[in-house]
Amino acid sequence: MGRRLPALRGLSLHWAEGERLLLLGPSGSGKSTLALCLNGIIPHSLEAHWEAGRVLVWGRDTRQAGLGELTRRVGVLFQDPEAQLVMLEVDDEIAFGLENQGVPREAMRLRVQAARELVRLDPARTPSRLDQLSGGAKQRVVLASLLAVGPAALVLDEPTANLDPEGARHVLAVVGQLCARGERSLLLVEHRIDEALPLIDRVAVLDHGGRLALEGRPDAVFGAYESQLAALGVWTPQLAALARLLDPRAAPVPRSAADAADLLVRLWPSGAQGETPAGGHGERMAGSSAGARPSVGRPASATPLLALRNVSFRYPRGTVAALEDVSLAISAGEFVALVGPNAAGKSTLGLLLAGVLAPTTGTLSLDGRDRRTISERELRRRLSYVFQYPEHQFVARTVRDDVLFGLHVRGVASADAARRADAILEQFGLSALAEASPYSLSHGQKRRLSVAAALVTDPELIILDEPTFGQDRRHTDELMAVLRDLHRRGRTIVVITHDLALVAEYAERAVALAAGRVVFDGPPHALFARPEVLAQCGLSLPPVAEAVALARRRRPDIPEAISLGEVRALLRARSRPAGEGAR
Amino acid sequence: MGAAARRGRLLVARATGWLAWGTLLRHRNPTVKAAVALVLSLLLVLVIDPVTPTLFLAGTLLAGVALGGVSPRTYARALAPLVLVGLGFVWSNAIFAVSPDPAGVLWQWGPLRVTAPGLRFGVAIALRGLAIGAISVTFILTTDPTDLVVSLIRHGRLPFRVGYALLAGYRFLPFFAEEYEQVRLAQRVRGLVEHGGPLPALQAHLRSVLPLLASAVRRATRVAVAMDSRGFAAANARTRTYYRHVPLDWRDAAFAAAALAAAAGLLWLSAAAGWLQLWDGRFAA
Repeated sequence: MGRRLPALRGLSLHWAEGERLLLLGPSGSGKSTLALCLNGIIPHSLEAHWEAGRVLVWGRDTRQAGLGELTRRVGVLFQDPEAQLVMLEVDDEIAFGLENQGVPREAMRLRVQAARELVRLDPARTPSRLDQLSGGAKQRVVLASLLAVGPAALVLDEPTANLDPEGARHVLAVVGQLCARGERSLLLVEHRIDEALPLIDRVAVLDHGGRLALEGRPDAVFGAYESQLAALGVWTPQLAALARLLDPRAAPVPRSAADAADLLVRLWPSGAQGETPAGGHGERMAGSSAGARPSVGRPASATPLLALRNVSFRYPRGTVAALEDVSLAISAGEFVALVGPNAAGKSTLGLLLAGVLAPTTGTLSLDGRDRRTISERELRRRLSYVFQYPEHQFVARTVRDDVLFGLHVRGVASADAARRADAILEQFGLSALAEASPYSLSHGQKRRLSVAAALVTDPELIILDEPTFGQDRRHTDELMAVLRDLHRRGRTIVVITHDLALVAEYAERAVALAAGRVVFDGPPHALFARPEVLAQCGLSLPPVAEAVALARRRRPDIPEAISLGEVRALLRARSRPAGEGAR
Repeated sequence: MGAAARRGRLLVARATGWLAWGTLLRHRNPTVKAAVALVLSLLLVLVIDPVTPTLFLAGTLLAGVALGGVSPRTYARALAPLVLVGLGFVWSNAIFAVSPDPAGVLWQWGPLRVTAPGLRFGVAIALRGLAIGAISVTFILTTDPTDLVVSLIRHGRLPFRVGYALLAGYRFLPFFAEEYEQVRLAQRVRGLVEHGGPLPALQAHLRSVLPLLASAVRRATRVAVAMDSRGFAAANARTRTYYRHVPLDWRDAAFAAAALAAAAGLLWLSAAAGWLQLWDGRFAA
């Protein structure tokens, strides 16, 4: 696969029958390679250089066993449902694996029905055409297709990575039920650790070289090895981090928000400061009652940087409006998160804000001037947009030229441009790859290049569409650190995301969309206090916010908090003498 | 629309049998239908008079509306581009066709000469294109793509690996259109402004194609791995079974015979009336 180093090296790993194993590792650690070895795709279907060692499935060496036998016994589900579907209709797709096994037609019909029930795809309520299904439903169709064949083991390689939160919830709920009583072995590669935790028995962690770094029960691994896991760039449960904040001597890792709420009720320090107004102590304001945001200090009457007024938008071939009567003003220096289910119009709104799409009706203004009176050149100089798929916006043959491109079209002198390009490549860890083709980079590097190319011109406002999508923890943390830094230097940031934990941690304003309309606009705290809005947008509370909310029902003296950063700040304020609390 | 509803409609159609005129074309075996469409189109290629294609065009549209349940509006939308292309043919042939007979000149303006044989030939080609287009459109609109591929594999000797590759590829098409749109938007955001002129426009298109190719290759590889993971690589043509049942029976033979008889009838009518003119191997009027 174009790599010189082996994807897996000296790996010894045991996966017992009926066991539910969570496999973690940074990107490029060989998780997907391992998945493909387990059902014999490697080496039977994909060429691979097999240096040494054996993979045994039920005692059979996979190099000796036939591919048909292996795929029948081990079902592998991949990340992107679109890249797994073959057929045009649901039942044909579910039957695909059975057809390949030569199952007679009448038997197929029954097994397709049974598989549909296992993944909860009710024929009466699901469209029969695949292109009319949501991503989550498509992923369940592929899962049904695997289940129809009756594998004793399931390997799920980031099954929810391409789904919105609602789709992910449905898929994980089905997976939990499929493997609840040891009837199927499960190997799960998953970034949504908090959601996956209740489903698993054991954790194995690979390192950058594809070697086994850690393994053990979730309690042991997440409780004791946080710093190693962080160094590896592996996601860990937020609830485990919450537990550690409460009791640094490693309390048992909570398996669910309810467990974490118990811990909070038990361990939250009680004291004289119970009446302390929420917020005011930490690096971030806690509590919607405060109402103030870190961006205070700007005159309230200032003209917003960007303003959409009564904007509707319809794509040329679209039958329904992608956006309906949206009004939104963004002030300079804000950090805004756009949230909502897939197809709610988030990306369309982002492209309208960036002035790339023109509203069908309504107006966009920049500094109070109508967009139509502003030159394309000025618009592009001041506003930047980072697309969800980095490849879409590569325009040059080498990494350096791609970064230089934006400077050249904006008329920056060559010497200055070269200096700025090299500086930003250095900042994003891409210097060594300056002469490489953008397409040859890894996923994380491509993402960093696309952000670097957008930032090199120092725009006032940068819009990022799902910037952390498919990134491991290290790349996510790095990218968010860059954004936080830009924000502190007064830049305006708009992030389109499904990740409410990220919204809780970084954003100061959340705009929620559902079916092309703005259904909420306010601080993240206030959004999290509105369950009906969250439900409408297919969102659910991030684990920490949920745990705190549950705990507050039993101990109202626990202050409101929605993110780990806030909990940390609140606890730090408590442990300090009262006089030092205020800034 | 649920599978139950579809099954219901199928049952109704089966019960009424031949009386279900509106779905008659839809229920014919796709391979037979494709063969009939191919034969009719090949016949039309040989015809160079304007009347015979008109007869075929009318026959096809009538059959499509009455027996295939295709609405006239759908035909209008699908055939509109072909009408435009046809008009172009009429125009260029009328002007550029060499006419040895000066009496054939209908109208002259400077070097432009519109000749009667040229005009006639242009109209004939345009109508022929339209008739073949109508046959293809009727075939596509009355045929389920999955049924077509399964039928081609089972009745048309298409290797099953090729058939499923076609289906998987067919699924790609909408993504291409969407991704192309995204790439163009992304390049605009980067500051690639398309200046007028055909060369920069062509360059912009080429630049958009590279990301598309990169993602197509990646997607194709992933689909292949996913298919093999579901036993496709290990499947074999003798033992593989098919969930879709696509019937092939006497009704399809009757349909083919009727369609060919109708075509023969139209040719005979055209010949008897003295309209029919067949291609003689030359590329001019």
